Amino acid sequence: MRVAEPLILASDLLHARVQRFAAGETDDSFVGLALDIARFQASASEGFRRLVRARGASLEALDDVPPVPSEAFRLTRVATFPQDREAVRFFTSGTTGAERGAHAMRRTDTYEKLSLSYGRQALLAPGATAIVVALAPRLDTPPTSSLGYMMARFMDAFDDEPLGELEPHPPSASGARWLLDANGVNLPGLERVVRTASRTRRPILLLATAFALVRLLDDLAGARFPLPSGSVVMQTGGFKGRTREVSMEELRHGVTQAFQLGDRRVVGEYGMTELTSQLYEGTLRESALSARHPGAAPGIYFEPPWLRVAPVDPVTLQPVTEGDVGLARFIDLGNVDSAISVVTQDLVRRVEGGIQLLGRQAGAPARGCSLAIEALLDG
Amino acid sequence: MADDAAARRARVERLLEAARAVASPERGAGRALRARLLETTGLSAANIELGLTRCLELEPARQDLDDLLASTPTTRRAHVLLSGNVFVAALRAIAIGVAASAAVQVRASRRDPALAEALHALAPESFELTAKLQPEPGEHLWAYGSDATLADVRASLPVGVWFHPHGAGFGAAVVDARAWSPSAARALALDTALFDQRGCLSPRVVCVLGNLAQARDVAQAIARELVALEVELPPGPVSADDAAERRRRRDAAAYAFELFDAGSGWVSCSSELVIPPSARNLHVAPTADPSRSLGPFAAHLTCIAADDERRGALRKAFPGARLAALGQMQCPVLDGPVDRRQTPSGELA
Repeated sequence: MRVAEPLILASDLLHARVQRFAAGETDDSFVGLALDIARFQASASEGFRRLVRARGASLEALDDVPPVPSEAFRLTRVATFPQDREAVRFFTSGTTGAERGAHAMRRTDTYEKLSLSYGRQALLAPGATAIVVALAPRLDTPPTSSLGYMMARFMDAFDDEPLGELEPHPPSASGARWLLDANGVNLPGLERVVRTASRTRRPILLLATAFALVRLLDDLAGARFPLPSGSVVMQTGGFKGRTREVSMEELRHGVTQAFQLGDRRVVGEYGMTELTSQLYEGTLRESALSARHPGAAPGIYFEPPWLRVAPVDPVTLQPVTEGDVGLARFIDLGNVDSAISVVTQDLVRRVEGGIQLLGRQAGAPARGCSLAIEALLDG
Repeated sequence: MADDAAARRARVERLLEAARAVASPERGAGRALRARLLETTGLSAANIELGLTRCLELEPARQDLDDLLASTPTTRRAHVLLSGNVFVAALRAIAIGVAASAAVQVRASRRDPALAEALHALAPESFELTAKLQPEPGEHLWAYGSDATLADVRASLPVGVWFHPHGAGFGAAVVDARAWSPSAARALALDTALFDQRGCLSPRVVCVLGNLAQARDVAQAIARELVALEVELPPGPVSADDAAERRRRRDAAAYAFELFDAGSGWVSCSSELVIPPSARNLHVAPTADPSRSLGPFAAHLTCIAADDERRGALRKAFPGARLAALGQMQCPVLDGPVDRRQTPSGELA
């Protein structure tokens, strides 16, 4: 037996517990499971062990689990298993290849189950299906984008009919469903999808980055592009490094106008490569998520039961008073094999049972000719 | 317009005379400058004092001044844009300006104009302080600051201006594990702690000729010295934003590398060379070939500390970097710009 096998076995048992927890089929508590994962990571990851030691953490309470800064994913491999056991490696967005962060996964079934379960609760009515297409580039092989990978899983799980007789299977293998490339948005392709949807009387679930939606609105130049009744747009991501930025409110308005949708049919998603789980707005009235948060306003994101987000003080990393702004600290049960607790530079506030995203915390001011670390990380 | 060497030298000497006055704790100007620097630099009083007494180039050798004059082009009007990170750097920058022209316009750092203003108060004929530089075609502009600032300046220049950009950089040290000593650790810690590691000469990485275990020993020894130095050379006050960023960076480094506590900063160690953020932090890595290890960072390297035996090879590999002894990285002689990565003639806009 390889030396690492006992750790792999321990990890597999935790994956099984997390999947049961997400399915509501266990008496495990969130806290108990999170602490067990933290202790497992302290035994399996030298990096996390060092961080625990450096912080003098006992791992006996959630707030005592030191969060791993998202920058660590750019500095080193954040994983509890050897590289030759990687099933997939997702990269963070960045301007250069060498310094991009990565989130390696040994198995993808937990990621898929969690993403599909909560995505379905946020983006569809219970039991409903839709034609799923993405304003995103076609998924690489092997996949390198966690967002693209999730979109592909949504296509395969939420869409039970092919777009046409000749469409390959699974749906995510179809080039007709990926409607963004280096030339921009494939408007003729989107028109074909809309015609098919109208003919078959099915709604469309359009998965899109905010950047791609801006491109689409620019291309449409004010023209209307009505989507079939019941359609939904999932909007995700920001504008880092892009040429044009618009506010999320402005973008939502533009999208609803262009697609002739009610404004509650645009659902914001928040995810990051370093996490396994996602948050969604509860705007879609017929969704299970909205039923749990009736009247949820746009801009409020809700986490699933297997993810907890806490605004924390930037220095102590302890939770701030309810209603105060802090850095987003995620405790994600899905991150069995990476980092159970991750802290980012995103500023958030808890409000109405959810999370309000308030942008990124400004870094310390650059100091003259002392080389900023970002200059090296970003190339 | 003729500008003979004697006149140029006299102008530099006049500036140095003013610098000696403002550096003296016995003089009113010196005491006033110290009080002002406490407000403008964010450094501790001890760090300011050491910067003034150890790093301000007040008595350059004749040959060094010859070199400064020889490497500085003359111009009808010289323009100098100062940075605010290392306060003593203003003297060298203005000295290059007055070596270049009898008509010098200086825009001081908004954040830290103290030394430039103190020099101007004692030698007002040497240069003019201005809120806006307006170089004209044929004139020279020396600019110091972040790469982003320099890119903005470059983009704003009229065609025909000679531009001398001195941008972001950092220092490195190359040490032999077999010759390592407590005094070497102390010297390197001092290079790091001076100006709270804000300068482009400040060391950020240490290449250890040896194995990982030896690199670890070196890292530990430097960390110990940095801790000790915090008593006699305390770090400046830290803003809330700085504290948050330091916490985040430190935790990320603790996850990624072996980390040794160094007071307000840290010393990390791993088999690969990486650049830590600047707040009295160093990264130590073993190497068999320092030129190869430092190669990827050549564009940013401004200073390398090494023993005499290795300087020749390093000078050849990194012609843009100054070579220095440990403990002398922040004390470059006054022979021209600190940053040698640019050609002396500058670039034509």
